[in-house]
Amino acid sequence: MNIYWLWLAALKGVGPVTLRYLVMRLGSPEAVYTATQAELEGTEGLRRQVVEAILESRSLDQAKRTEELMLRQEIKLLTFVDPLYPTSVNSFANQPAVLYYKGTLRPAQARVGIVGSRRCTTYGKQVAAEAATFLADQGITVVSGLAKGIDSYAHTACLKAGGYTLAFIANGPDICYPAEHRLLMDQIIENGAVLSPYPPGTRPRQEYFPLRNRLLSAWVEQLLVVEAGARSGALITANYALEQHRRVLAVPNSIYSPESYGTNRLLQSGAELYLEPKQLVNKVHELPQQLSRDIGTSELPIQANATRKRTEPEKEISSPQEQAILERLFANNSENPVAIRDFLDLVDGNLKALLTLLCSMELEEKVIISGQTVKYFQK
Amino acid sequence: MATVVNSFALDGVNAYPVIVETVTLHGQPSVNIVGLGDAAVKEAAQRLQAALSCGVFDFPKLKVVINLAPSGMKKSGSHFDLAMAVSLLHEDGQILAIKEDLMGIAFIGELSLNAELRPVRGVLPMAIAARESGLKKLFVPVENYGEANLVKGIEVYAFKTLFEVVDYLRGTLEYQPPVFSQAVRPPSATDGLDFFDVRGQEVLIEYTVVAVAGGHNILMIGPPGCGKSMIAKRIPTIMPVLSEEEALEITRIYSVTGHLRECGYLIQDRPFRTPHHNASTNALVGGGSPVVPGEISLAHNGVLFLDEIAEFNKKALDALRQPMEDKVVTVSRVNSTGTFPANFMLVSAMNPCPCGYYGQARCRCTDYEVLKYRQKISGPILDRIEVHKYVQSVSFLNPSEEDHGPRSADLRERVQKARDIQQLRFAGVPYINSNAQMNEAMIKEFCSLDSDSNRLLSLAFEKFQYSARTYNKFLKIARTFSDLDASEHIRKQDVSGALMARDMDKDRSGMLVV
Repeated sequence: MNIYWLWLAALKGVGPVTLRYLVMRLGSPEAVYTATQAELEGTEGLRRQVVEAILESRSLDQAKRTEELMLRQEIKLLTFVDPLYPTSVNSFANQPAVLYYKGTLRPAQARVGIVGSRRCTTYGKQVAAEAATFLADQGITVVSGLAKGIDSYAHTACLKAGGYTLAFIANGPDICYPAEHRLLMDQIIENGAVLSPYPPGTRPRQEYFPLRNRLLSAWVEQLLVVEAGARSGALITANYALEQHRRVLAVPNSIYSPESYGTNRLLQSGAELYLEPKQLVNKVHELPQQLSRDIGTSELPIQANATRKRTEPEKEISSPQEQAILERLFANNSENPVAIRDFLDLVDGNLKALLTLLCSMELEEKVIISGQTVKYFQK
Repeated sequence: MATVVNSFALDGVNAYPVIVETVTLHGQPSVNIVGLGDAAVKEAAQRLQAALSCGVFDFPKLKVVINLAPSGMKKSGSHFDLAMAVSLLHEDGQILAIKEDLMGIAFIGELSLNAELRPVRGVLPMAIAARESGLKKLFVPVENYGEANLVKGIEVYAFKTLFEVVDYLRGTLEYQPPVFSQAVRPPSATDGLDFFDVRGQEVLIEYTVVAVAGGHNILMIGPPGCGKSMIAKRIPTIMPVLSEEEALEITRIYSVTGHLRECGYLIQDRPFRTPHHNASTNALVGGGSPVVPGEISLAHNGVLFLDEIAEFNKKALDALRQPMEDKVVTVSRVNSTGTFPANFMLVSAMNPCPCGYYGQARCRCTDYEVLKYRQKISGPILDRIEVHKYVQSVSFLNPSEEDHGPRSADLRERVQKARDIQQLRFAGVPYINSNAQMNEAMIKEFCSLDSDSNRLLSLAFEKFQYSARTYNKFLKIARTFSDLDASEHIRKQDVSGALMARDMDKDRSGMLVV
């Protein structure tokens, strides 16, 4: 029976809306295939071109080839009549009626999308990973697009936390794009699924991505936009999500950061402000009250927070040199690395002693050493 | 009766004796050179005719047959010219009164059309072969005099022209050894280089010293323009001074490849070779027909610096695996096989990620991209490079104007001491003379840890999830650290020093990838 679906999906001139209509009216794709000219012409609301297209291309050759390919590659078919096809997506008639996927689909489960730019910053990586890990722990499906950057981090973090993740791609599910995600894709197939509106063998093309984005946004209940440049694909996804009345959250960042131009704009135009992963569970928008409460006493907690960090008691100081090193790292804004050589004066120029000290400090999770630099260890 | 004189042919970095036999026969005038010579040997016929027809001598109007024995081995090069000319002149009766036995002399040299002698390559191994085959005298072109003279126990005579050679043989010329102005030590790549000029890179220099002292290979990872090449170039300045034996080995290789023609003397500096990253496999390990040494042999007893190692052809790099292990390389071709020494220290440099600024705020490479980039160097090669250090750019380290690095001479002294300790440790063990070459059993014997160090190591393994195979590398490096301090046992500080020698492995644990 698959073969008629494949045939119908590959028909030129029959888009998702027509496809859905045809199957609803005639009962099944097979019925469409075997329908006589009179039957088709008798069907109400069918354009003449569609009838002609069906009548002219009754060959199943291509469908057979696709089916063979799918069998070989273990690609499965998800049609809109399948109970696994979410009703929330089905409510949009223009969503693909047929999907090709590898992996396992689970019945209805909460789904959150995490999208962002390919060229992301460490900040974006951190946010995406934190959110995805949290969602995995909560048993919520993480949905993303298998692209470089934020997408890959969301998938990876979810998998590492033992979660279930879905990837929507803009090429055939037999192709891995980008190539370096080969392993990641295999892992997703094992612990989730890779879905595509495109049949196997389709190479990725720029113009294929918007459809993938629209599908992704329809598939989720909430969409977290981590980082997005001015003309980012993540913004396209976010706009679709808003059109589809999905909850959209955006991560705030510096107004000077080009990677956050899009997300900051989203916030300005009314997207929800994302501050912590917990928000992704609360379906109720209770954030505004929380915020107002915080704003009322904003001065104090932030200050208290900062001072608390400075005298963090959990790190045991074992020597005056260690103390001095940690203090200097603070003074230099704990985010920035400091050259190891800058501490040479603390140990009378004895490089070896300094290396020994720093090494033990690193193992005790007080500092992070990278090449010739040290920085303060932060969770 | 044919006239017989001695010459030599090259086989790899060695030479073997060749007997040049000449006979004149009645028949159509012609010159036939037999004995599997290549084009350069065959063309000697033309040079001979021209050189002998310039007024002083007569070219015999007979059929001339020249045989190079052993006739079954392929020979190449233009250095048989002199031997052929002398034997032909003698055969034709133009050198009658010979002062001494022709058989006691070996002849090497190329002839110009005007009968001048031109320098040739491979004179040093030929001189060694001459001494070994018990010859008394060696005649060479004047430009090759210095090189041939390196071999003790043989009299070297240098001549400018064929006329001089003939006059000397006739006994009409008083031989005057050529006079060279003294101290013509050719400028070397490391002249005037000193770690003193490297500012702000103390940590990296320390690890460079460790690498040199223990015979470890080193990989420097850093953004463009951060000083990787600057440090690499100075590594020969802290390696132990060349022993005469080592110098001779190097000179021999350079003699064969023709690199010596310009200087013609014993090479006294450790080689520093920097092949470009488009080098072919054969250019690196040696090849061709006849087989000639490649870059790794030219870097013998010195440094092979592979800048942008990730850009090298993967196949070419993988070909280094066996020579890095065995310290020699055997290149086999259908017609010839060459075994060349290749005991080099591999110094390599690469960018940390495709954009080059990994770890800095401007880098936007994803973890998957970074790993993919680093995987361009195959595991087995990375495995043979013990020390991986990140290099920060000088602008970040921000040294003051009066800052300077340690003196190369002082570092060399430290290295020498550590090497002496190792020499003692591995005395009597063939083929092993540095910590880097230790095998499992030796690591067990020489790298025992106290409980404190052991705890430190296992803590680090737990934290950074190192693979089991890195364990031995840490031990080897720790051993070198303790040797540098002349400590008998590996102490805790040696282990922590070693733990910081593998920056790339540490990174791996911080990456978010499946």
